[in-house]
Amino acid sequence: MPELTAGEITRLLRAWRDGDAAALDALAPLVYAELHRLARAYMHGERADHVLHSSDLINEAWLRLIDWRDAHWQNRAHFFGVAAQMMRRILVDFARERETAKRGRSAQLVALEEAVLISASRGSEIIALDDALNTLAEFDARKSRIVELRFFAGLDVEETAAVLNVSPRTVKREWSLARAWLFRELRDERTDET
Amino acid sequence: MKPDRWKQIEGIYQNAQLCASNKRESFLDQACAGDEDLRREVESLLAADAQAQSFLGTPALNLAAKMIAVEESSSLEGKSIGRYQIGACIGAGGMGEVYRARDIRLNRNVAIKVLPANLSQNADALARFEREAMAVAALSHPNILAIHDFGTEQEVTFTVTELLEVERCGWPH
Repeated sequence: MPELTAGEITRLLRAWRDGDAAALDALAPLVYAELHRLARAYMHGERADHVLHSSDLINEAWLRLIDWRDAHWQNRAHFFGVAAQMMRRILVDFARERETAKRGRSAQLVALEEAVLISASRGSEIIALDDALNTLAEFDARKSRIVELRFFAGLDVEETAAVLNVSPRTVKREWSLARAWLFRELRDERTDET
Repeated sequence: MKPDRWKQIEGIYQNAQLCASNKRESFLDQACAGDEDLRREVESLLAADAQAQSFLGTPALNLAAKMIAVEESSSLEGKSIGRYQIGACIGAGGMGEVYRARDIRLNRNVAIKVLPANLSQNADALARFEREAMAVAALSHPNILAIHDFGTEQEVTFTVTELLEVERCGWPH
C-alpha cells in the first residue's frame, strides 16, 4: 500500500486537473490497492456466503482514497468532480490493460485451438462505456457528468445532486435518460460487431 | 445529435415517463405531431429504459474488483493437479486456459490446458474437449503440439502437451 497523506493526494489531484499527466501515475497505485482490497473482500464474501453491500464498500474505498474535508478545496463538489474524472481515467486504463493482456495471451492459443472465443467481458464494457460517454458529452455535458459521478465515482443520487448543484429529482430524471441512451448505444454496438 | 433535437427528445421522453402506460400512446401521438423520426427515437429510448433498470447499477470500482476476484479465485496458478505443478497462465480462451506446468514425475516442463471451471459440469463442453484431445493425439506433425496426457483430477479436466517456448517470439509470459 503506497503511503500518501491526504494532503499529498489533494496536491496530485490538483496537479492532474491542471494538466500534469504524470500525477495520474502517482494516484493509480492508490486506486489499484483499493481494487485489490475490494477483490479480496469479494473473495472472502463468496466463501462465507456473505452478501456485500456495494455502496458501503465504495464509500469506505473513497474515505480511504481521499479526504474530501481537506480545506484546500473550495468545496466538496469541485473535489468530487475532479476525483470522479480521475477514477474514470484510471479504471478505463485498468480495463484497457486487461483487455490487451487477454488478447496477447489468446494469440498463443492458435496451436491448440481452431478458434478462440473471447466472450464480451466487463473490461471491454467499461471501455465501450467510456467511448459512449464521450459522445454523450458532445451534446449533453451534464448527463455525461452525472454518469461519471454515479458510475465511476459511485456517488448516490443525493451526493451527485450536491456536486452538480441541482435537485435530486433532476439527477434522477437525467440519469434515467442517460442510462437508457448509453444502454442503447452499447447494445447497438454489440449487434454491429456480430 | 444536435443539442436542439436532443432537448426536444428529452422533453417528450420525460413527460412520457410521467404518463400512465395506457395514456402513453395518445400522448406520443400528440407530442410528436406526425414527426416519425422523433417518435421512433423517443419510443426506442423508453424501451431501452425499461430494459436498463439494473444497467450501471454497480459502480465501476466494484465491477473492476469483481473482475479481479473472479480471475484470482478461478486461477490454478500455484496449485497441483495430479503430478503437475501449475505455474503461470500463458493463455485463456472460451474453451480453455493454458498454464505453464512442471511434470514432477518426468521432471520436465509442459503446458497444461484445463477446461474452465464454469464448463466443467457441461457434458457438451467435456465431450468437445475430449474430442479435441483425441483428434490432436492422432496427429503427428512438427507444427502440431504432441499430447502427453489427458485426464480428470480433483474435478479438473485437462490436456497436457509439450511446452512451446514462445518467449523468443516476444510474447509476454
